[in-house]
Amino acid sequence: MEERKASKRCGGAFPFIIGFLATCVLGWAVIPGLFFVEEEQPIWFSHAVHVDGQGMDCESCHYFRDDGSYAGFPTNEVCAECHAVDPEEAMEAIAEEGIDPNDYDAIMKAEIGAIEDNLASSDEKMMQAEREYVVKYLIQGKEVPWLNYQYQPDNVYFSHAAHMNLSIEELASLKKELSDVVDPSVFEGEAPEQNCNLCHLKDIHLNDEPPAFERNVLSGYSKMTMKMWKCERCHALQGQPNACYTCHK
Amino acid sequence: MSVARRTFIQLGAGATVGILFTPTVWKALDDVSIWTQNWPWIPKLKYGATEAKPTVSKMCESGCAVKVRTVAGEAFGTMGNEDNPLSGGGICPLCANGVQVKNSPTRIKAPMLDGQEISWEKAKEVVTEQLEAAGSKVAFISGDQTGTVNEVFSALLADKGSDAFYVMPGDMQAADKAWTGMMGGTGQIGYDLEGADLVLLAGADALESWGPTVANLKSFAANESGKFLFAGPMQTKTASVTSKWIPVPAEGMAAFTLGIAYYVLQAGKTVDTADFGQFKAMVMGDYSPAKVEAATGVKAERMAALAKDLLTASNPVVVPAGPVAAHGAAFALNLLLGGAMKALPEFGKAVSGAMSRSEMLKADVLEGVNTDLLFVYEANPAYALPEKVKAGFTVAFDCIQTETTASANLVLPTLHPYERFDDLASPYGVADATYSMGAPVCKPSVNAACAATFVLGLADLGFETFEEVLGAKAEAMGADMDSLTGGEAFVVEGETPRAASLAANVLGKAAAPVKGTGAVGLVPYTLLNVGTANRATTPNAPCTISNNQLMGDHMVVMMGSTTAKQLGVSVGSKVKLSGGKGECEALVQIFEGVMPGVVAAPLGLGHTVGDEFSKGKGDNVYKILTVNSEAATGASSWAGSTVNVAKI
Amino acid sequence: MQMKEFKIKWGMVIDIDKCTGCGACMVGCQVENNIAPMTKSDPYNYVQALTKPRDDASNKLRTLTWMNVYELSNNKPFPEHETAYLPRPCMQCGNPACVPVCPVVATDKNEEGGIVSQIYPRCIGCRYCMAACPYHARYFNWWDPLWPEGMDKGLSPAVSVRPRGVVEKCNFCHSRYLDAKNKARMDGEDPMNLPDGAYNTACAEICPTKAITFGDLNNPEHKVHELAKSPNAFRLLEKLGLHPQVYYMSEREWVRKQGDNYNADGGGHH
Repeated sequence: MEERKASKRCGGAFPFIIGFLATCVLGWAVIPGLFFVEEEQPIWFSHAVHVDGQGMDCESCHYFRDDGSYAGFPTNEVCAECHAVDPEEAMEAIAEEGIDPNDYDAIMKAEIGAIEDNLASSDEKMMQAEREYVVKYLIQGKEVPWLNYQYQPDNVYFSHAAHMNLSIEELASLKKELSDVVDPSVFEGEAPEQNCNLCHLKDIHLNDEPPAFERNVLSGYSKMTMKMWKCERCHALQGQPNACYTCHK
Repeated sequence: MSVARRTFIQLGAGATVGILFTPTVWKALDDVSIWTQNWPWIPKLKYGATEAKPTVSKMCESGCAVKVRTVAGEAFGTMGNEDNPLSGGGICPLCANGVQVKNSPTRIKAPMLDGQEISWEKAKEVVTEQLEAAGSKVAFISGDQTGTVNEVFSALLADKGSDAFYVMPGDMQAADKAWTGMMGGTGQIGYDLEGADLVLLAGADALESWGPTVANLKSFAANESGKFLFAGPMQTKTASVTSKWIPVPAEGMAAFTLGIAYYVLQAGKTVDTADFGQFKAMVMGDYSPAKVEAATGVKAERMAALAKDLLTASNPVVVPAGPVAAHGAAFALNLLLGGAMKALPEFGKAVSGAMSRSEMLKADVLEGVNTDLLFVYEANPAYALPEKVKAGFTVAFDCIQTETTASANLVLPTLHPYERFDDLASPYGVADATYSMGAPVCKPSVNAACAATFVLGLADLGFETFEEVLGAKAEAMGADMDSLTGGEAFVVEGETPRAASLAANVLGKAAAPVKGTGAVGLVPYTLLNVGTANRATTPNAPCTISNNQLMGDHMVVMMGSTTAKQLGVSVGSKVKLSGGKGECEALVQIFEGVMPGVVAAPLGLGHTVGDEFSKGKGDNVYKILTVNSEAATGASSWAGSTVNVAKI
Repeated sequence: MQMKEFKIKWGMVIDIDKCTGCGACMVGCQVENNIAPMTKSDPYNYVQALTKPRDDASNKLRTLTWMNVYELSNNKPFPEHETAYLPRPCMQCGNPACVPVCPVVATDKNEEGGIVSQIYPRCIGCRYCMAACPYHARYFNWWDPLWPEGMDKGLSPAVSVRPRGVVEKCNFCHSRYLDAKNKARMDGEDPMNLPDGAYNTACAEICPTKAITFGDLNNPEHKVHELAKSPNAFRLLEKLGLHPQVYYMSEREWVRKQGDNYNADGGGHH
């Protein structure tokens, strides 16, 4: 009798429910977002400019090598086929101007002929991005540290060759079972020839501003990093082995 | 309603339960567990195109043809070159760690004058000054047995009026002295280990540390039906795979070989030389089985049986090691048997004024070097020839810090073999004249330069860069430089060896066993994973070094149980070995594969300069080797070294 | 545990009569698998005075030698003494002792090919598997890997780098198997029917005498298939019933006899 009165005094089960609901809302809506911090790619790269604008096809930069491995991010060698600035010539010109080769802002401001004459862009915004790429990476001999949305740690061995024969059209029938792994929107509309959309950003070839890279503050992985259970789910549905060494190294 | 403590607690409880119904805690735990798998100090891997680029490696004295594995342009490992006869796909433990040596913090980072870093321009000035002052008192010690860099170095000496070109002591030199010096033969001796049906390794540790080890191992494995025998004072790793081990003391090898020749001569074999009669008389008289047995301890029946096997074989060969006399005796025996010994023609020279290979092998570094200006190229005489080499001013070229670079006046960093143009011509022992070339496969990470190119800049030798010299070399032999740098070898078949003389007089005197005055014989042996005279053990190799060589920081010497009883020591006893001009400390291991009255000690330990994997481990056995001068041949050798062993 | 049979059985035949104990396989294995040299001094340990120093390579109980070469002896006195060398990788047992004892299933034998997997992030470092393995083929990372300054810029992309506290072992260069399958897919061939030599381990590739032959024991077109059936072939500790997939060959009877541990004192095992 005493307890009943006492609990009635503090509001009954009400505070419990308030606390419960409050954290539920926070925990679902707010806190998960706090796990991630947004990072921009080191250089503004627009697929639209290259694919639609320059008429390049995917294989120019993303292709299977002869030994079966996959070239994901293109190296400077590939980019330099069109962004043909001679690093030696540029460095010489920079030295002649008396600028510190590590002072990127000064180099870009100086408008070095060896660089400016070989920029392929049309408008100012694109030229600036191209200039940044050339000055900070190409002539320095450094590869661009692209942020990999599909980052996987070193202990994972992913083979593009093993997945190259998957067809979005055929997988559409498993749309429901795969709904946790593949966003259902991937299966909408006409199925594209390539199956990249199954795991990568949808229709990236049309993208102009790459989305921000969301890094998990605790683990350091990308928000889009595919967790093991997703791989296992699809493997199981496709009758593929889920032995540890299928994917680990 | 009042907000009392209970409300607060209820709120808290609700929140706690609530948060568990959200992904927060579970995701956080999952992410934290992943955080514990990704400590920032654990290196992350680099990915990209993987390639295997062919080049030549000079990690050991002979050199080998390898392929350097790279990922995204960065080298990470080494493998063999299947298409090249020097490798056949395999490599030795030194090359296997080549990339790690290349990336070692003990790389010499820039030219150093008396410990201070200077520029290459200043270095050139200093050397030019020294050259002018020295006049013709210039000498060169080269650790590279097979490269065309030696042509550049000897041409520089010739330009200054000097012929003081030295190689580090080894069987290549002894073989040449015996063959071209003593016996008037031409070409470089080679042994067809793959085609022979009976191979008697008379002291030659061919499958571990003699000659082009990898090529030897390849030939051994490819020779399905051939029989290999090893004669020597100790069961080296070679003896672990040969059909038999014949215990023969090191200083008695020449006599033993002539003891076998006795039976072969008895069977009626001859050699077409002017002094054959003299030779036969010498052997039959001074090297009869009884006499050889008395001098060396090898039973007459043993030698008779070996001679019988060699005579019945259709393509036998005897492979010598050690002093010049042992080589001479083996060559004579091979000529008698007419088997798988070959004489290799020399490839055309690229640099006029350069010495021929034979000329390069003439000078005897064991006699000591005393000059005004000394150049040392990728050799370590301060370690392997202690107190033998003196110079007013020393210029040391090397890739990694060594005892020699630590004591040199001017240190010039060379590019690592994977970072430079290099070649190798007929390593001593190969059956056919074989030439391989390598182009750089990595960019250098330190301010090193090509030593040969530097030397080309010191005099007018007709070339600006070493790459040009190699181009000329390829042209001189009629080979295509592109296919050479692509990993292919240029091969010219070896010929039948022909000697002018069997040097009966000299050989007869020199083959008599001469031993030191110490209590027990000392058998120094080399293991590639422990290190060679020029190259210390590599970073990943120490875990391959067994307790028979090194226990903790103490060197281990091996002896048979009878020898141990004689000396009053047992397993684990700490002993002091005194010989030559020094002494070494070691622990005793009982190993029945060592002849009685002999103690076996590993060479390559006891470094005082280098990385943490080689420094301070064991003791330097080169200190206690005694140099015996072969009176008759005029050559020096370490065979017959003895030591006194005292328990500590 | 029941013995699992797979269609493909990766195995080795090691010819002891060709092994000179040079150690190239040991060094090559370490380079391929990103095993750091045993560095004793830790420049990042600011409390070195309070902590135990790291081990150097002379402490053979701490070295990570996935491929380890043992020296054998016939134990006879001079001059009948003989030596032999025996390279020992992980046996990838058909009926492994290490798999059923793992409390977290960090190791399993569940992949076509029969290679016993070892997943480093899952391992908790209890070392039960090390106790179970009679071949001493498993190694524990007592220390974090520490390369000398600059040496870790050239690492093999084939194997992840393990932190301390984790057990590791030879896995027949499993990444090369995955690479070989990729190549087969690229060439339009069957990745589950690789020709002899398409997939080769680092140790077999580097061995100068080709003493180590690697391949599919079940595939008659692979060399190991016939070699394993040779009358001179034997396996180590066969009577334990672990069905190791590594065979040894020797024409010397004393070597073959040392394969099965029926000598009371273990027989010449250094």
